Amino acid sequence: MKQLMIKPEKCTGCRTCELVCSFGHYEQFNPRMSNVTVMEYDAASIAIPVMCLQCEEACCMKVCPVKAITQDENGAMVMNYERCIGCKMCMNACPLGNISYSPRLRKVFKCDLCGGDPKCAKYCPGGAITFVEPDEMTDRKKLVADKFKDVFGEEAAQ
Amino acid sequence: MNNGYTGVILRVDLKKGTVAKEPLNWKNAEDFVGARGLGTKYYCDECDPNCDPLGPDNKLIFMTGPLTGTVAPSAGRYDVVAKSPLTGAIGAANSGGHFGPELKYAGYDGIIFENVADHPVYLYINDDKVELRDASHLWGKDVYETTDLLNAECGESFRVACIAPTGENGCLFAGVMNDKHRAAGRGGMGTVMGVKKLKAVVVKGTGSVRVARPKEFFQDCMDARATLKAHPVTGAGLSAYGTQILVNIINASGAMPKNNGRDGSVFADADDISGETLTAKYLLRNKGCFGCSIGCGRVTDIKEGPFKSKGEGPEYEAGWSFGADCGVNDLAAVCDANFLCNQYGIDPITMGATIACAMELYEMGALPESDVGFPLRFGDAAAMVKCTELTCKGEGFGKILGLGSYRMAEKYGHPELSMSVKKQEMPAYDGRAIQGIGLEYATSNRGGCHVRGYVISPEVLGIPVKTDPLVTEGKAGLLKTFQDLTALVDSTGMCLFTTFGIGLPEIAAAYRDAVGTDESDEDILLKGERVWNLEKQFNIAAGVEKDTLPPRLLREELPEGPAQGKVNQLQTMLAEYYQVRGWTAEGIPTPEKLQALKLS
Amino acid sequence: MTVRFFAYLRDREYANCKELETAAPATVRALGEELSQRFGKRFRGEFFSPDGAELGERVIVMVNGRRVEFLSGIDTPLKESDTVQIFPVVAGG
Repeated sequence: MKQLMIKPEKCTGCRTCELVCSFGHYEQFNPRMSNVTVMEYDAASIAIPVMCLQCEEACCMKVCPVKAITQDENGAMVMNYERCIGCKMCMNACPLGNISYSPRLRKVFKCDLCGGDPKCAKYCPGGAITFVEPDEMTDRKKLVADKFKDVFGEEAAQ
Repeated sequence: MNNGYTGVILRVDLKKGTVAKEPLNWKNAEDFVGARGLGTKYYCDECDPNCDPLGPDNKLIFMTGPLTGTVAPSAGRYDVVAKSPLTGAIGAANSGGHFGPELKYAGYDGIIFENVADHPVYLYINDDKVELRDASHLWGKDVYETTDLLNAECGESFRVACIAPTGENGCLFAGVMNDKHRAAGRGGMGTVMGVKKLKAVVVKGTGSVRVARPKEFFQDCMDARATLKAHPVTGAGLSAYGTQILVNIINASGAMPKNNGRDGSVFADADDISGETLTAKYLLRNKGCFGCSIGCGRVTDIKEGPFKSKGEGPEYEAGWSFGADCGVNDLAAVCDANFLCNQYGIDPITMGATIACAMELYEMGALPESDVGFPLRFGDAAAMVKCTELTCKGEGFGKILGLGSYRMAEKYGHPELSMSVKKQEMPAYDGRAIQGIGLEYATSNRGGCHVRGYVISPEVLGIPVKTDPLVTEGKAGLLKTFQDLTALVDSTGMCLFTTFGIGLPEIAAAYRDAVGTDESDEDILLKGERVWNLEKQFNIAAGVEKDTLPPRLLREELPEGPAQGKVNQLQTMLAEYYQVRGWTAEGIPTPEKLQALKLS
Repeated sequence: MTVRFFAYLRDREYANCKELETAAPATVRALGEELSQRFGKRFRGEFFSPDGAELGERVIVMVNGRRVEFLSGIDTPLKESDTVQIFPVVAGG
């Protein structure tokens, strides 16, 4: 099951993810209706995109009194707004703070992995958000291997 | 609204302390797009061109564009418009970061500030709640302090645009700084804000920006972003090295003014202040403005030594002004001076070029050491940083430097040594080695400026076509197209840097689907030409001096490099330029041209 | 003759060279061949167009600060006193 993974060292803080997320769900550009939020730390010179990580043991799902949160075929915990009564128990239960409430929409909302093709990962210009199988997170290893390839590989020797 | 605009303008009377909301003038929005164009239109309709830029009648306008806050590439920009106290011409400076989009999410396309407050104030905007608040406790604080205090007072999620003491104390090239490090930098828009006793604008918005044809618009934007990503400049070079990457190529072209341009434009130590060196020695990470896939911003850290400091930048222009133009080859000193400009909210191009001018005046004996307080020779990194600091703090010789190079050089009897046009300093390309950029400096509506028509692209970088920098043929037509397109791009809310990778078709497509129009590419480009002519009309009415260059560029031949022996052939190009613009030989838009542009 | 490299041509592993001295080849094309021998086919791909006939679109080659397009193109002759500057396509402002 693919998972959203973040690499903060690649995040430039441009917030394209927030725009494509709100657009994907509501056809509007509104960072405060986005399921992903970029936290920028000016003094520490780092920006970090934060979104629901779709817990295996999802507290939000467990705590919901009307079973409005279920896991879909992509592994995403999704909200059923037909059932949701807006009690915000899920917001309180999420240990990561990844469920939000919009006063404008008058509802809680969270990442649903865009039905299996999350736009934040698809359009992140810096590659800071990726959608991958967690057991295939070999990028960092590959970086080291790539260096060896460049130095000792066939092309370099030519 | 479903057309890129919010449809609401805030009108703030600083004297009465009132805030009113009014509907956007839709006719003007259609004709002048937004940001630079629309802000200028509002300004020209409401202000006397002969008003005192430092007086109460000079209005100050913040304006976003229809694409600001959308997913269009690098579309986070807003413009600040007023009559410039540095030039007396129309001033419009734009800035990225996150402030502009936030203003739109709060529900406003722009803000018009009128009159002068009787005590320091800031404008607080939290969606519908808009009020003027006392800023006495912030007066005298620098950009970083002011931003931190306002975030503590209003909330962490508020975006802040503010001025520093430079804007409060009459430095003529103070900028408006937003998100701490981004600047609406040129022409003294921060000075105008200071005169109004307006310390800051803070904004938080929870609303949306909607467009007319969402699916088509999203596709336009993603296609444009893919093109930018694939382009070697916008997808690789600018991200990796920032704009300082230009140092070596401009220097190789013999076009990087050294020592105020006195000693030509080949700087032997260029590589010491280059983007390559910056990346290798001081870069922490690159940073993107709102919605930007390019990420040219630099976060840099000088960890040790006499110039130990940390901040953002420098950009190429500041790298040159504090570097080659002052004969300084110490990149740490250049960074330090640049950070000071951010912290104290001043334009680093004018700052560095004014110091360079002072150095020349000093070396020729026209500027007495007693006025400066220390020796001020080219190449003295510590003296350069000291001058920047004095200007930032408004102390000693800094008070004179704060007037800009023209007024300073005039005071010391040599106005011809100010490397400025219409009293604003020219940036980092020698018009003798690159002919077209000289024409751009001479004709720019806001005085010496490169980003009103960046013909360095075709003349040096070969984007989108390769033209010889040493020839004059064809430069007039090329420049007109660049100026008109730039006026359009600036007015949409997109960043000019996108035009390294995409052009009119992509920008026009995004504009069409955002606002819901079916106008042709040419019709849309015409709006840029309309903005240009409106600015020109204002300048003529304001009595701004004619289009020319400092005598150095017209008479002193370059001593070395690939452009050795060259001067700028302005008169040849200027006549052709006025012709292609449809203006008279004196550079005045003809009635026919104005009628065609619906400006009469 | 001096050859100078800039931006990622200087920093990438395959070139990783700031400046080198070499006996002047007859033309810019011959220099490109020589450097491609030295740095490998990735460099060749940057320097030459896909068919090898012209300069690539991602490279700027100057001889003494003049783009070769405004001299004699890829066949611009070289002499010992020349400096050749090789840039990837860059921009800024």
